[in-house]
Amino acid sequence: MNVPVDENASLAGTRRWSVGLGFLAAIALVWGFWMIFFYAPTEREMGIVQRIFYVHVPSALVAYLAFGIVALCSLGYLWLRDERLDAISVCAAELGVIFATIVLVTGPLWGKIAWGAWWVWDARTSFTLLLWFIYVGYFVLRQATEDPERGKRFAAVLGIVGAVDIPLIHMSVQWFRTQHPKPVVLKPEGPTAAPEMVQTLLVNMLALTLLFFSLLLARYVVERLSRRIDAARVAAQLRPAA
Amino acid sequence: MRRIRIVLIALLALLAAPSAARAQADTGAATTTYQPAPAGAASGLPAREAPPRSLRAYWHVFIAFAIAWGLLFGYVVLIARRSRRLEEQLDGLSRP
Repeated sequence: MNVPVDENASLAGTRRWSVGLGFLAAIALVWGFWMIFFYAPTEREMGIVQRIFYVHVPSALVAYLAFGIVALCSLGYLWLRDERLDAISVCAAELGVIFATIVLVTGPLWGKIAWGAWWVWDARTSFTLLLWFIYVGYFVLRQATEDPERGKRFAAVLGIVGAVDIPLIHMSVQWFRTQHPKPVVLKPEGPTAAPEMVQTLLVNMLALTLLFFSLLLARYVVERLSRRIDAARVAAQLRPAA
Repeated sequence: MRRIRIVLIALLALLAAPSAARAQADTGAATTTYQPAPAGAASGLPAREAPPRSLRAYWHVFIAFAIAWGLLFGYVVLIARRSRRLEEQLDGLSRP
């Protein structure tokens, strides 16, 4: 099989970046973990359970980022038909689903203590669940058609449409009566939470963002290798028997 | 064996962290002066009384962090294994 040397070098470079970012993410995660349990003060109303905030909120923001990348790359794919953009979309969607799952699991664990209920059908939780289903549907749609190119196009459209849900989730606490409180950190007039809480949140946001990009690059290398193997197998099947 | 030891240490750290935070909360020295509005008040819904503090809250924190870290760690292991397998397949295809 003839593999272009440039492509091999490019994938090796991507892998190096992934390892480097992963190393930085590991340091930031340990630092963030220490801050959550030994630096951030205990919130008076909710007690220790409020510390779930430091994994719940950064995971939600990273999921927004992931699905935003899916939408942008899907748009690029529909326009340019570049396979690399489709590969990035798939990888970002997979990671987005993982981070959204963390949001949907940690939220009820926090809510049960803070609100007395595992699940409340308010606007934010409902739109977040909808987002999760949209991007799980993204993978189902890719596999649902017999023609893979068609599946990629359909999934790209869903990837773009699904991202419309992100501003809805973010603005839902302003637009609707919800159980979720209004923002205490990300607001125009500046954060009203204690500085230690804001610092802890920022460090954990940085850690999860670094981890996200590290995993995105690692997953991209796997996706490219997988596609290369598939292409080689197809080529071998089409080659006339000697 | 080494991997199992690392996982056990990580689990112990996860278990110990909420206890340390509990000790910090019990001393009262580090409690914040910031008093956010209860969720209900912020949204215009009737305000509720603060829930009673129990050991259950510590379990919820532990489970939340264990699931989040477990999912991410599991994904890293999955990608590493898949990458190794694909490279082996690619080597097999490259051989004449």
